[in-house]
Amino acid sequence: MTTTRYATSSGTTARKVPLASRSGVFLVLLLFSVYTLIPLWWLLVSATKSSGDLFGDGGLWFSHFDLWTNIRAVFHQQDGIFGRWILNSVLYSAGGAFVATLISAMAGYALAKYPFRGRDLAFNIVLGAVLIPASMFALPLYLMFSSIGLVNTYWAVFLPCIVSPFGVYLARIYAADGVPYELLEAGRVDGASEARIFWRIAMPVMSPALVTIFLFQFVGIWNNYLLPVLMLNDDKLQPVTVGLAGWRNGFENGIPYTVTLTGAVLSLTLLVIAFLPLQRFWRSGLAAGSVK
Amino acid sequence: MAPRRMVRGGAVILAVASLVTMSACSSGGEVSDSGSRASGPVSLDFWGWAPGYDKSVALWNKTHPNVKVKFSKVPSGLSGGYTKMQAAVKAGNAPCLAQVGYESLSTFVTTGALEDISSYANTDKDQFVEWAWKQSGLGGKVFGIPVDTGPTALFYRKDLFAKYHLPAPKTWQDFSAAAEKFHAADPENYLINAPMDSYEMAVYTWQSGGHWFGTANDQWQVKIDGPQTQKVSQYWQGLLDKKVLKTGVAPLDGAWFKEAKADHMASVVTAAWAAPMFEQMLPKQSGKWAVAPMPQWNAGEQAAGNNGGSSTAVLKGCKHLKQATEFATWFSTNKDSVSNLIKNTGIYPAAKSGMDLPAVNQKSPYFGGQNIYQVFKAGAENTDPNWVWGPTMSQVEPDFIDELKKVAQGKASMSDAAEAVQSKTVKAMKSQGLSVG
Repeated sequence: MTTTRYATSSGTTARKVPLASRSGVFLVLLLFSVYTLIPLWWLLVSATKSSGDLFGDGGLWFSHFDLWTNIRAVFHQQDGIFGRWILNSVLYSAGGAFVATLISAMAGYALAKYPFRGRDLAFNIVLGAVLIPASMFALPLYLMFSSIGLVNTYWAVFLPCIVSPFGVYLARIYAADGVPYELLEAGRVDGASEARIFWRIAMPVMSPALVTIFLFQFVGIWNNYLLPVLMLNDDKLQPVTVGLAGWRNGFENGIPYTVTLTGAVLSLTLLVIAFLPLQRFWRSGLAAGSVK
Repeated sequence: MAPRRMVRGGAVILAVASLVTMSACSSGGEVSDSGSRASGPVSLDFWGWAPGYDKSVALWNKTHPNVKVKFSKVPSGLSGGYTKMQAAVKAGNAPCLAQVGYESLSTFVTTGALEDISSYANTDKDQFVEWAWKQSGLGGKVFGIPVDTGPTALFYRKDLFAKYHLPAPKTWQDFSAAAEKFHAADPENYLINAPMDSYEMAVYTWQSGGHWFGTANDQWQVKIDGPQTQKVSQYWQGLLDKKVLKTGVAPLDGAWFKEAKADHMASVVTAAWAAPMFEQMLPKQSGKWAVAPMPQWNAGEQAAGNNGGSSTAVLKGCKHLKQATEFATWFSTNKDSVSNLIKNTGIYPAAKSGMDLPAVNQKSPYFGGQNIYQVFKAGAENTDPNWVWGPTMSQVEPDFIDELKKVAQGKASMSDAAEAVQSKTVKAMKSQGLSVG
C-alpha cells in the first residue's frame, strides 16, 4: 500500500519538475551514495581477503575468497572473546535504548501534557543537555561512579545510557502535537487513571516517535567509545567497538588486519539486521516532526 | 607498543581529558582497595593493552605467592588507555602498574601521575640498555622499568637493489644516489617514503645525535628545529626536490603495502617489532627482504634511532612501591617472562639478557636466512642515551603531520615544518603552565 502511494506521489513530481533539474538532483544523490558506499564496499571486499592479498590492488574487487577463514579467525582470536563483545554490545544497546525510550516517553509526555511550575525551566535544561556531546560527560561520570564504587561493572556503562536528553525533547515535541487533549479527556471521562491513560492511549499514539528515540539511542550506545573505555577494566565487559579498536591497535603486536576488518563487518551486519525491521517506523517518525 | 598512526584521535581525547581533569578537583584520596593490609599477600593491579602480557603475569603469580598481580587489558594508550589511567589517578583508584610508552611518560610525569621509584629501582639499572633505562625516567628520577625498545634499521629489497645495480646504502649519500637511480628506472618506483610524522622525524634526528627536548634547572628545553633536525630536513628536502620520494604513505600503512606489493617500494626505515608484519602482509616477497643498519652520515659510524617501546610505570597512589618495582623488573628481565613477551607480544626486549635469548637471535627464513636481530641488537647498543621526549607529544605529533603534509604538497620546506612545530610546541607547553627555558 505504501509503495503505491509513494509511486503516485513521485509520478506527480515527475510531471511538474523539468528534466534537467531532476537529473541534476539525481546526479548529486548518486555522488553522495557512491561516496557513502565506497568505504563500506571496501570493508566488505577486504573482509574476504587473506593478509597476503589485502592492499594488493585497488581494494575494490575480490581476490581469493577467504571470508570463512577470516570469520573463523575472528572467533578464535583472544580465546573467542568476540562473541562476548557482541553480546555485551547488544545488552548495552538494546537494554539501554529500551529503558531510555521508556523514560523519555514518560518525561516528554509529562512535560507536554501536565502544566506545572518550572516546566519550561526543566525542559530548557534538558534542551541544553542535548547540545553537549555525550563524550564530554564521560570523565565527570567516571569520577562520580568511582566514588560510589560502580566502576568496572555492567552498571557503569548501562546507567548513563538510559538517559537521553534528545529523547525527552523529541517525545515532548511529539506528545505536544500528536496526542490531542480531547483524547486524554475522553479517557478521563471514562474513568481511566492517569497511568492507564499514559500506557493505553498516549504510548500507542507516540509509537513512531518512540521507535525513533529507540533507534537513535541504540546507535548512540553502540558507537559509544570513551565511556566504556573509562569505566571498564575488564575485557570481558567491553562492547564490540572498544574490543575492535583494541585489535586494530594490536596490529603491531601481531593481530592481523583481516581479523579486525572481518570483525567490523560482522558487527556491522548485526546492526543492519537490527535496523531493517524498524527502519520504516523511523522514516515516518522523522517526517512527523517536520510536517507539523 | 609503538604509537604513531592513532595519535591524532588520541590527542583529542587526551586534550579533553586534561581539560576536564584539571577542573574536576576530585577528593578521591584513599580509596585503594589493596590498602594497608599489613600481613598476608600484597595484591597489585596492572593495566596494559599488549597481548601476551597476561601470560607473563600468570607466570609471576605461579612463583610469587606473596605478591599477587592482577592484569587488566585496557584500550591502548593513545586510543583512550592513557586518558583512563590519568582519570583513575584523579579518582584515586589507579592501579599500581601501567604500560606506558616512552613517548608518553613525560606527559605522565608532568601531570604528577607517576611515583618516583628511584630508591627501589636504581640497583636494576645495569640490567638494561642505558638509553631505555633513561627513557623510563625524567630529570634523573626513575618512574618505571623498561620493557621493550624499537631499534630502527633499514629494511630493503635485496633483489631490487641487485636488479637495478643500486649501491649498498652504507651512508646517506649512497642512499640518495640509490633513490635517484631506482626512480629513474621506473617513474612509479620509489626507494623510500618521505617522512610523514613526528616519530619518523624523531628517528632520523635521534640517529643524528640531536635532541628535541631536555630539562635543566627545572625548566624544559625545546629544540625541535635544532641543527641536527635541520641537517635531516635538508637531506630529505633535497630528495623531495628531486621528486624521488613517495609522499602520502606512512611506513607499513595500507597505501605503503600496496606500493610494496607492486615492487615499487624498495626500502623503509622501521623498528624491530615490524619484522613479523612483513611476513604477515607480504608473504609472496619471502626471501626478498633484508635488514641493514640505518645509513650513516659518515662511513664507519654505527648510530641508530628508536621508534616505539614502553615501560611498566608505577602510578601515583601505589602503596607497595617496593613490590611493584620488583614485579616490573622481573617482568622485563626474567627469562621465561621475556621469552613469552617476545613470542606472544612481539617485543624486542630492553633487557640486555633478553637480547641474547634464542627467539631474538636466530636466522629468519623469511629474510633469506639472515639473523636480522644482530642488526637490531647493534642498533640498540648504538642509540644515543640522551634523547628525551617532551610532555606534549600528543600535540607535537598531529602538528608535525599537518606541517609535513604541507611539505608534501610543496607549500613549505622541511625546515619550515620543523620551525613551525617548534613554535607551536613552545606555545602549547607555556599555555599548560610549563616553564620553558
